[in-house]
Amino acid sequence: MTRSGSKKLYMAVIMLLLATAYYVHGRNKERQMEIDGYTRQYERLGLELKSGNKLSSALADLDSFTINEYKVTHLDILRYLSLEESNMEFNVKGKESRKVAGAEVFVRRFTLYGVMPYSEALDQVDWLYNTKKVVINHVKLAQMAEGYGDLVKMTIEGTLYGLDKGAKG
Amino acid sequence: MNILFFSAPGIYYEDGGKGDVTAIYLPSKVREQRFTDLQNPNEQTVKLRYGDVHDPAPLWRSVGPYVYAYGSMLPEIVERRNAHKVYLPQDFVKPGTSAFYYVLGNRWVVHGVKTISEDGQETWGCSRIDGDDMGIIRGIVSSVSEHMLAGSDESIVVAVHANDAIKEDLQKALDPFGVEVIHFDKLKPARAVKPLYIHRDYGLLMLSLTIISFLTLIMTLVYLALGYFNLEGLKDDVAKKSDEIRIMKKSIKLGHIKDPDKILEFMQPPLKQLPSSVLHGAAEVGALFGEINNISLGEIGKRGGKKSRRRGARKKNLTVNVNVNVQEQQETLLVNQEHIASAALETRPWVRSIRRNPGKSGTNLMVELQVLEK
Repeated sequence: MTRSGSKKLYMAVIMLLLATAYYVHGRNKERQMEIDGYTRQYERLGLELKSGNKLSSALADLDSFTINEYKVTHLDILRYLSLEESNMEFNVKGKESRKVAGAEVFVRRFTLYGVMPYSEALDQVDWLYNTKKVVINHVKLAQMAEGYGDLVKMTIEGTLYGLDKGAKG
Repeated sequence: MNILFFSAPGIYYEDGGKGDVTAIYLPSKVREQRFTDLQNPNEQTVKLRYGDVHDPAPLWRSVGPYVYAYGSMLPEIVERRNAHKVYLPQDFVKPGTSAFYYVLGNRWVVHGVKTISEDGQETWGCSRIDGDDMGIIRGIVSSVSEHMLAGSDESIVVAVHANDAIKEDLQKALDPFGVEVIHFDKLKPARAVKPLYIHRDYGLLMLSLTIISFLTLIMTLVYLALGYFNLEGLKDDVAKKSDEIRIMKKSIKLGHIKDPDKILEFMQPPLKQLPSSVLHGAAEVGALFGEINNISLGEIGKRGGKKSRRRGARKKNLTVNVNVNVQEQQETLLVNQEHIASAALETRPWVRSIRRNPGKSGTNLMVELQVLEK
């Protein structure tokens, strides 16, 4: 092959290779833009999931710490507080409605009364406190008359909250 | 050294070796031209002035203010891929040489004689001699003997290329004249001598560029493939994340509530400590004063109620008041009660104050305790 012929052939091959590389590079840039778009979408979804999980967790807490106002009865409240088989007196004083963060929260004051040994009374107060389903506002432990040993009269006043969760809640 | 010997009509001799070629051009006085008006001579400007436009590159050289054009390259040499440098025959001899004989192969002899004009200008007259082995030897010996007869200080170069047999015979024949026959490979053009024409072998450069272009293409293809896999992985991840969000949204209860944290904060109990620890802490203090009638932990949920910040207390510490009603012990002096209270405060750092408030059914002690706030 002549000098000019081989030169033309080499140039043609080089140009073809470089043109193909340039074309592929263009596709790479398009692909990279797509990747950037998906990366941003992935990060946005991650943030959405994180905030969603936080919201979901807070709503789950709220669900477990409130009674369903849609179908609440005295027995429902006792079941909610796991006191349906207890022989303590449980009275609900009244109900009021409060608007908190755009939601209607139903607030009930209740009184729990019972006679039991001092240590058991402390356990009962703590147990109720640990359920997180009520807020204890007032506790009174009073001594019984002579001859009752360490029995005390326990009176707990507290607050429990309700939300309208609908028929399914 | 690969040698090619040519003139305007064509190629006379070439040894056929591969690689770079040193070409000897035998100029013709008829074709030689001298230009005095070319300021910055180059191949293009010389070509415009010399020969036909269709001719290949001119064979030219600048000497002082003059540009000498000796002829044109042969197209068949120009189209060769290996590198070529073209010189005049006299370029291979040292200054001071008066005649040379280059025996090329079995047939060709390039002969040159230097003449010096009256004004001191040196000109070379070159010719080619065609002959067989014996004819060449006889011709050279005859010519050398004539030169020797012409002057004793003649410096004659005799070189042979690619023919050792003729070199040996020629050496024997020229021994009486004291002329040494050398290999042509020993003759090199002086550094200052510029070739009449030069073309380089671009094969390696072109091959290198082709390889680089090919590697560039491969790299971009690899990058494209990696990008493709990366994109597919990202698409899968986005789909998974979207599914997770869909499942999370499906499982959300109380979806109509937008800010559950505020409601949870509203419902939060005011104390961090267990109520039993607060009650028992106060009862323990009350028991030092007498038999306890009742203990009352009152209205801790009310803001601004019986909890209060103490000056100097840590930020998260609150004080909670607990009423302890103890039976009045008539025999106990107030000063003794004060001693008991002081001891209680010293041994129980969480007790902040004890206040006595006598009542009908006994003595009310208001015990102020420090507790952690939620």
